[in-house]
Amino acid sequence: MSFYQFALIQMALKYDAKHDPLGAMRAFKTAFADVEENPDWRSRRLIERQRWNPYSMEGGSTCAVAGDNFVVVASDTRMTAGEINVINREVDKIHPLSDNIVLTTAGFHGDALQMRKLLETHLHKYRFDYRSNMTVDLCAELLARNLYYRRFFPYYTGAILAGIDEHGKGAVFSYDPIGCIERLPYSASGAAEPMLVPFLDCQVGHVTLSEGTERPKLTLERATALVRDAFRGCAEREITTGDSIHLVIAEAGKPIRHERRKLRED
Amino acid sequence: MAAVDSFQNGVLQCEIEPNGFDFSNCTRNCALARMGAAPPRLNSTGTTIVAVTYKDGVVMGADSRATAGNIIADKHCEKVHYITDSIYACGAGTAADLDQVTKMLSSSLRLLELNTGRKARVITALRIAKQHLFNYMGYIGAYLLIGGVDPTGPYLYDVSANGVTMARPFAAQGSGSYAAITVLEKDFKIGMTEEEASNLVQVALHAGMHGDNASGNSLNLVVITPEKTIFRGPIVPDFCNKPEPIESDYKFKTGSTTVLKKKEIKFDIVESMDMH
Amino acid sequence: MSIMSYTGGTVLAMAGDDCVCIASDLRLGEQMNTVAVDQKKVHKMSDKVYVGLCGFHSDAKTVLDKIMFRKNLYELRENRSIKPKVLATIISNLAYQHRFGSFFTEPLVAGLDPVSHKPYICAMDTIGNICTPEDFVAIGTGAEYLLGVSESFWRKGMNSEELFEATAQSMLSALERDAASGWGAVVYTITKNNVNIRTIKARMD
Repeated sequence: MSFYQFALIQMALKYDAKHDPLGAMRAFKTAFADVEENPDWRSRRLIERQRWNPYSMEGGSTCAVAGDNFVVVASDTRMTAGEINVINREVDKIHPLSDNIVLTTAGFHGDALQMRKLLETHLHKYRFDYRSNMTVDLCAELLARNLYYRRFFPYYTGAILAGIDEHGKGAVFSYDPIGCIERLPYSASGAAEPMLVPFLDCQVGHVTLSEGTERPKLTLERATALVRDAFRGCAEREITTGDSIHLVIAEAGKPIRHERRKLRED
Repeated sequence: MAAVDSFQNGVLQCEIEPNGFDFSNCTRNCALARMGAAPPRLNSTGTTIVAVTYKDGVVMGADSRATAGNIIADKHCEKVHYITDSIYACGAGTAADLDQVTKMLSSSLRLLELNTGRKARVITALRIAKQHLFNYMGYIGAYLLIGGVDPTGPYLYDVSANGVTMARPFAAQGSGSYAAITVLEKDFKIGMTEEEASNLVQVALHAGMHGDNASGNSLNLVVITPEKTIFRGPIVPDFCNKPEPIESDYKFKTGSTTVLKKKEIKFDIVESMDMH
Repeated sequence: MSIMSYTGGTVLAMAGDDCVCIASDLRLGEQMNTVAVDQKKVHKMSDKVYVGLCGFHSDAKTVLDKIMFRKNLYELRENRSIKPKVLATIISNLAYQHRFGSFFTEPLVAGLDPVSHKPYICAMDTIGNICTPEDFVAIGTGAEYLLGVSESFWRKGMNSEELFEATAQSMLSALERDAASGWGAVVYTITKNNVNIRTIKARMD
């Protein structure tokens, strides 16, 4: 549910559901009487006027999985206009910011690019001021504050920041559009988030298995295979996800690797 | 019916012999909408449908994806509907409406054929469809391409949900129609052969399925000639195949799930005497 | 808040080799409040045919009564047990009859053909558009979650035990993330000779 929809509903419900539980029933009765008096079908058909919207959604999805000494970040490369038309099949939605920090975004691509530029500038200035690279924890906090700074006209992106932290462990930070930050073992965002997350819950989190069942260890090979399969699954069922998978693998003490795999194009 | 009073009888009659639409929930649903509850998401055939007439027949085709919002609800949705042996209809719009409208069309035309003893004409199908749709002022969301071959030649009509109809030599509808119509506008010629026409339809469908998120998966084709009707499909174009299969085998060993309670209903195997 | 997620609930059906599984969660809610924790959304129609009804619970109950009425009438008239496909058509026509002013419930039919034991699964939207894939269908608030995981977990030609595990694990994964469903799940495995009803351990929230 978008922020605007939520605001609309709040306006429509003129009662306090918590302190006045019968208010809902009364409001419904009023609405019912109102419909009987002037029903929709006797009025002219409603033309929903499109208000100007500063945001647009380019679809696609992205996810990140953290391991002991690595982190795997993946996203599809399709860009969509209005959920229907494919406007680009080779967009990079994963932005490596330094040797150990990777930003990945879904949602409004314009905001994503602006956000990347902002972080890059900050990272550059940090390098200039302190003669060292920013750690992923610091960068994560920086991003959270910059998102909250725009509390009332937010960057409309589901961002995930991943990287290798100062102890050499994989780190994944998940955000909402206004800067609620959470460090997680794995995370997903974008149009196919509801399809990716339960799959990772089952295969990485192992939360659904019974007690005696063996739980395979999360190696780099297994993590990349899982992420690829997760995207193959949601490309089957989600219309704005497809074309190809872009994988970015960061390992402790190694340079960032890129990998591209084909996905279905229809 | 002695056990029921007249009121109950009336209610029962409604249940046993339904007559048209039932509007009894309308007021409640409108009231809920005014309370701010979003209406449920309906399946739509976010579609590419294409039809082309050629020298002596019609070729019609459709993709096979049905969507509910941004989710693919059905990968093998049949959008080329049988009307009569020589008339078919492709549909775009609300999936349930299309199923029911084409079902209604085919049954009423079959009745007509039985009553008159001759084959139904395409224009008759068109007239029934448009009168039905016009009656409901566009609220029945069916956008149809009705095509077929009469003794007087091939015909193709485009029907809008509000009852507007057009006769056309070639047509495309649905969310992928922009991509498809560009191909048709470029390559359509009057008096094509059957092969040329079916190739053109396929290329147009490919364009729609490729460029439009809401179309894809596979395509169905029907070629109607004066002699016979050939249905081809599902045809899966190259770009609709999974480029790589799933790599791991997600096989769960027996016992992966904790079972708390178990109950078994066994069927008694009774020797059956009736012939199936 | 859509009326479809007012009471919550999710049903998943998967088809295997001469068997089908149908799973449902047990929560009945009123928006964010949980009202009951033993509410199955799966209902028996005949020996091998089951119906799942998700969406607004009041409407699901009304529709269930209407389905039962039509199914009983069919069996009395025809004097044979109903085929899943026939039942699906009956439900579809019932739902489409209410095209304008629909019942806020999505029906799902899963079962074996009483004669040929061929598996049949189908799901509908609120106005009766049937989709009959060969693999799996999901309805309700968790449908999106289920479709994503089932896509990886379903394989061709599973036997009843494998099918049970796949269905149960898909359901559990979805319940992990769907706030409107939960409080345990029940899985029906319908085979040629028996129906196994298993209550599985899930997160209780």
